[in-house]
Amino acid sequence: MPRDLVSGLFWLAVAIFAAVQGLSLKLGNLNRPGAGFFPFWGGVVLGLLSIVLVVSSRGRDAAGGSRARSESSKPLVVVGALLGYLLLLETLGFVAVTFLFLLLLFRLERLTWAFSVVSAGVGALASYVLFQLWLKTQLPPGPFGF
Amino acid sequence: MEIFHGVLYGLQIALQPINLLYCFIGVFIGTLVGVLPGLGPAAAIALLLPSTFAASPVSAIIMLAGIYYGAMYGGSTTSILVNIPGEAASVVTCLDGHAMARQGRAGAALGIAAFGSFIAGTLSVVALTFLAPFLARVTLRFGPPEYFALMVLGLTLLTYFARESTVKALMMAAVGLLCGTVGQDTISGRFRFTFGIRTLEDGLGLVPVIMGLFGISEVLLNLEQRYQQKEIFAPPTKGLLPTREDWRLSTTPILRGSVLGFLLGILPGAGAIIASFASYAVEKRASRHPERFGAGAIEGVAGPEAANNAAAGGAFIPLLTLGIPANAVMAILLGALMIHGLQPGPLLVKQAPDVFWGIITSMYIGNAMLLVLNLPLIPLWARLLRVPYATMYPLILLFCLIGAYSVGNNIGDGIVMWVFGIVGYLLKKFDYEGAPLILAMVIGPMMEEALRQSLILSTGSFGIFVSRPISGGFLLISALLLHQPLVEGVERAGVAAQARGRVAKADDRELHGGQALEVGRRIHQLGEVPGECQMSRDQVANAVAAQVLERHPELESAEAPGLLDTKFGVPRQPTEAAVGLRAQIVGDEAERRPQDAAVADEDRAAFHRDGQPLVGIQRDRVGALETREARALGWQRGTDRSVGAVDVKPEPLGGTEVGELSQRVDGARADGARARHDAERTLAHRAIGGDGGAERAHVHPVVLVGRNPLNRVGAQAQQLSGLLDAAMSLLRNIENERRTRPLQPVASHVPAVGDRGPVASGCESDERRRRATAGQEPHAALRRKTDQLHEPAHRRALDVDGRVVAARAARIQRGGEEIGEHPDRRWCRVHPAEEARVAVAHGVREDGRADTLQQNLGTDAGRAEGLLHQRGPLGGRHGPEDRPRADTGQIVGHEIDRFVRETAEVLGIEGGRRDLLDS
Repeated sequence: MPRDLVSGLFWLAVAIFAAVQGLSLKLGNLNRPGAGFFPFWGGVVLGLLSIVLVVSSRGRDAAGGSRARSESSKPLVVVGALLGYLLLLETLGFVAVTFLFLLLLFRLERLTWAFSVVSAGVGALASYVLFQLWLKTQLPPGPFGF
Repeated sequence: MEIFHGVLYGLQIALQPINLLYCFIGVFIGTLVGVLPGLGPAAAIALLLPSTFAASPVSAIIMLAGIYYGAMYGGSTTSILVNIPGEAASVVTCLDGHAMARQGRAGAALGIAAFGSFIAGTLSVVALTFLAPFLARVTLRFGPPEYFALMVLGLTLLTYFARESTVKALMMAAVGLLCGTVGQDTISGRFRFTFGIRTLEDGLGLVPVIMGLFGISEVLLNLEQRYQQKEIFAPPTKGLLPTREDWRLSTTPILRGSVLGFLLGILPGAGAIIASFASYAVEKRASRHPERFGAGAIEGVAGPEAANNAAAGGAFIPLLTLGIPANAVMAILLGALMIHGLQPGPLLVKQAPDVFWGIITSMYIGNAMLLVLNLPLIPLWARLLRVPYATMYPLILLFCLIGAYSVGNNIGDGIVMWVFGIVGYLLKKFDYEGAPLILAMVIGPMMEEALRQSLILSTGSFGIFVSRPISGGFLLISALLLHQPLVEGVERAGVAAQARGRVAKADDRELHGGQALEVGRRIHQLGEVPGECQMSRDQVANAVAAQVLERHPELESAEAPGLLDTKFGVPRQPTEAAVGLRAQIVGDEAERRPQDAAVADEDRAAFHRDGQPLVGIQRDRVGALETREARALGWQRGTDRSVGAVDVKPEPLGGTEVGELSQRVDGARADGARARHDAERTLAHRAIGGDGGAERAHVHPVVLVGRNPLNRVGAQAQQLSGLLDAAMSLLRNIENERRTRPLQPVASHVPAVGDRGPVASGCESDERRRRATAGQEPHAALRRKTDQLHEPAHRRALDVDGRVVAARAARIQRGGEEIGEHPDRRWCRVHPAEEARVAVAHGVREDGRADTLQQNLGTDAGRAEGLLHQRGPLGGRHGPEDRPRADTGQIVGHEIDRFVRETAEVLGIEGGRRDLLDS
């Protein structure tokens, strides 16, 4: 399936959603456009463009646009790790969760355990010092107070 | 006078120690992110934005601006030393900068890049100093309709300069506008697209969105690419100061680049990337020696580097005078200004003169700092480039997480960044660009407000946009831009930029097979535009390699260690002027032997332009000999010819294929392919009549881009386009060759070969052969019958790309012309119009040079040669004194006997050869 077709259909769906939302937010009239005016017309424009893309994608894209093979599942793991980091950040605290995050990624890259542990520890502490103590960023403390 | 006062006032501010410090930090970090590939100024500024909350607005903006123009400096270092653009605007610098580094002139390249950047940066700040207050005064008179029209124009320009398709860029802009509506509506107070999520009520945060789109997604993309350590040139410790000659060459390009960059920088969407490409194109056209470009022309470094820095200065104009960002970086700066309680726009100069003048004057200082600091620091940056990505990217991700969280101390912003990271990743996968989305997202709310205010003003009439001259003018320009290419040259530059940019991406490991194909097409088109297309050798190699890998993933497998190095490798030895690119054969070295390959006419045509051989096809043994042979062929000395080679690895044909071949021979199957000619029969005989069976050939592309290191003449556009075409044809061949296909008749296409000796071939009757070998029948008689083909020089025949080809088939005489001579091999130019289908190859030597060949090509070949030599006339050019030896017929006869025996075994046929042949 041509990629332009896939992405075009996706954006078409987004456009329809936006336009419907815009309608429910009230379009107002031209004298006094309402809150839904811009989302609605934005959705319409996006929808028209997606249709153009979908139509023009037929036949053209099929041959040349093979999708790049993903070489590994690394991006997936990283995406999961990022989400995990965000979800655990406020419960475990910055330093602990940063340590775990860095450890996971270093191990993902097959760095040695010793190197990974040390680097993750140093990274977590250094970033704590840099951001919390020096730049005064408010990082969430964990049960241990940091 | 007003400006004079302003500058003085600005200096007072910028020279305050705290601001000097921030400026220094800014340019330092900017250089750092410029040097590091995969982390651009947009993500870096977004990252550091929260850390400036504590500082005063002036200091904060001074630092963030410093990151931007600092990155323009840093990018050139990576481009020159590693041939990877440190950030997008330095892509072109790779072309000539890296070529200079290869020639040992890295110092001069780095030096001129720094000086050019400094000069252009300063000039553009001067222009900014004079233009900005003036424009701010003009734009004061803008009402909502003008603003709306201006923003429409901005978005149009943005999509106009888009690197991918315009439709997609417009779609991204529309998506960005929709993203901009998320949150509370400023006019009605209603929540839109918030879905009851708290974080969204304030709208999508610019910082998390940018970090997701430009930071996280970039890391994800890099992760799935294979990254290999590139060769990093040792940074020079001296020789950074350009010589007088360098200056003479570079002064005009720097000045031109400054003007061009500044003007393009002002335009929304154009920015530093387009500016650098445009400058390169201009310099190349203006140059009296355009052929030097791509081979280390200093103008090709000076111009673009000047242009991207000037563009960085120019980009501040719309921000400071209109409050409209010209690019993604400016969008964050806009956000930064607003976070610090400032309203960018025409009123800024009045409301916050300290910020306005402080920023501008700090840029003079920052540029000077960059020049003074960076030349000594180059070794440090080079060392930084050796840090493996595996240890780098976790930290980049961590900084993004911290950055997103600390904007509002809110996990929700982190989630937004996460989502947009995935979105950005998918967008790139589907060939969308993130920049229009960001800009539209920032502009969106302003645009909506302007639109709604305008409509309220006009009581619902859209006429207000057209009737007011300024807004009408803007809209008219937008309409023209959208409907027809206004400035063809700019567009062409854009397309060229696109093609080059994408090819250059190969270096950045972003080029996928499909894209490479597209690049090839584009380059081909561009090939018609003289001087428009110039790629470095590595880029060509990488583009082709990307295709090869795309189609043959197995080549990447771990079974073949060292393979990737060879494929992407940068030749280290000075002798290797040619860059070898190999789709490698994984197999036993000893098994390989020189074979001939057939190359279809269309493919050969691709190697020619205007009758000139751009690419020769060489039967070659791939391997260590590549270099030696390249050298021997004199590529370095005389010509700069691009060479494609075909390597053949024999592989035994399967039983059914042998069966099919034998059917061709005896025509046993009524509906099957029948041998139509004696010659074809002969060929089929050859195909299956070797020593122990026929073989299937594997065609592997070897693309060698020949360069002449002495005169540094770069491969010309046409050559490169021919090369890529040729490579693609070869790849097609690879694919075809994987399929088992019925054998096509060959012989009718094989031209007569006039001056070669007679061939005792299998189609002759035994009686005649006997007589011939006994010397009872004159050669002429034999010749008439059998001049279609020559005896295969090698004992095996090949099935190449569905055609049966006699191994070491004859040198093509008709229409062929020798273009090169070497003790071991000859080169033939074959005009594509000729119907020759047999391999472009050369006859086996008749003059007893087997020893040389043995040394050069290995024992196997030598043995084959020896055998042939023994056969005498079969392989060689035939003179009257060179009579066939008496045992020739016997050898052939034995071979046929054996093949028949074996084939009969395979087919389960009882009986002798006569049964098979004469039935």
